[in-house]
Amino acid sequence: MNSMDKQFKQLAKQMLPPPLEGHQLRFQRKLQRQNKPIVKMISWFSIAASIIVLIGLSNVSHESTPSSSQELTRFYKAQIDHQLNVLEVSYKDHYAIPLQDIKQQLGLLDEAYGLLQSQFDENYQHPLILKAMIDNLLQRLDIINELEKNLNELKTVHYENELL
Amino acid sequence: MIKKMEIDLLIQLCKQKDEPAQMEVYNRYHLAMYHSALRIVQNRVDAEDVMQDSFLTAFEKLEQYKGGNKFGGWLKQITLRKALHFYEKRNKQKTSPLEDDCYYVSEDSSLDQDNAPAVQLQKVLNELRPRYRNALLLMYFEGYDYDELCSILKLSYGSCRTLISRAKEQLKQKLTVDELHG
Repeated sequence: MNSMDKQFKQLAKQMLPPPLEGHQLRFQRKLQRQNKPIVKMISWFSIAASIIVLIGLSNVSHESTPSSSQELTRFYKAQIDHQLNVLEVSYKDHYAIPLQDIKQQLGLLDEAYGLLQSQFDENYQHPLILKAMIDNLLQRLDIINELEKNLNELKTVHYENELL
Repeated sequence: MIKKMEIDLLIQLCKQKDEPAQMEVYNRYHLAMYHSALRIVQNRVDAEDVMQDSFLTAFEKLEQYKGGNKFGGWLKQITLRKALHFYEKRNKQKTSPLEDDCYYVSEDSSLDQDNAPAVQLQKVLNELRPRYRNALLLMYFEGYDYDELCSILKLSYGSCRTLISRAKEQLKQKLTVDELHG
């Protein structure tokens, strides 16, 4: 290589240096984040929740919730707890509720909620995260309401059987 | 195999968010886009951000790419728009953009001497208003003509010509002032 070539190459390198090391990896990470947006996670949660048929008591406590979601969380959790209490009191004499199973199932939704919570702590301005959290709680409420309906039907059948 | 694929085929895969295809497109075009961004934002970290952001936007808006035209050209327009936007935004926040901008002013004095007129021009360019500077960069470094310039800057043909002529005028003025003082 003659010196002129070398000089030109050096100059070109100087004027237009290559990207900083590791740029491909950094890009790949950004790309993966973009390819898997939060919206997909919500749908995953709904699938997980739809599989769950039974639900039970849960002791959910996330004290670090920022205030905007705290009220919502408290509101929905109060409703869930109330419904579960009603169910327990009404039916524990007549029907064995598989508590162990239920608790395990609820743990799944709770885990998902914890994940959302930590994301929410990082980025509390993202409306999708908040929506996913509300959805998570709503799903629990739906499931319990569904359970109550089923148990009511069972009760009617039981009552009719007794009459016969 | 993916390395030998035609770009149009790769684009089809990218539309399905195929990561290896996306990375292959990145590998093929990143250097050109990086240098286009670097010439405008003049900072390696920012140039990388602008460049990578442009790829992400391009992958998101791939439906808008109509093929036919060269993909590289389409991507470059996105990159340049982002770089211009970034530069103008940064310069609004910063009062003296020069200190960390002259990254390529050499520490090697022999090269400095050979390169003196270019460095001088670069310095004066950076003192121009961002809009003027960027228009000149697009025209002389990127080699765009008026039509392409209009499309990138989203200006009418007339405004584009006025912009360039005013930019040149200001550049000349500054160069003469510099010569007198230098």
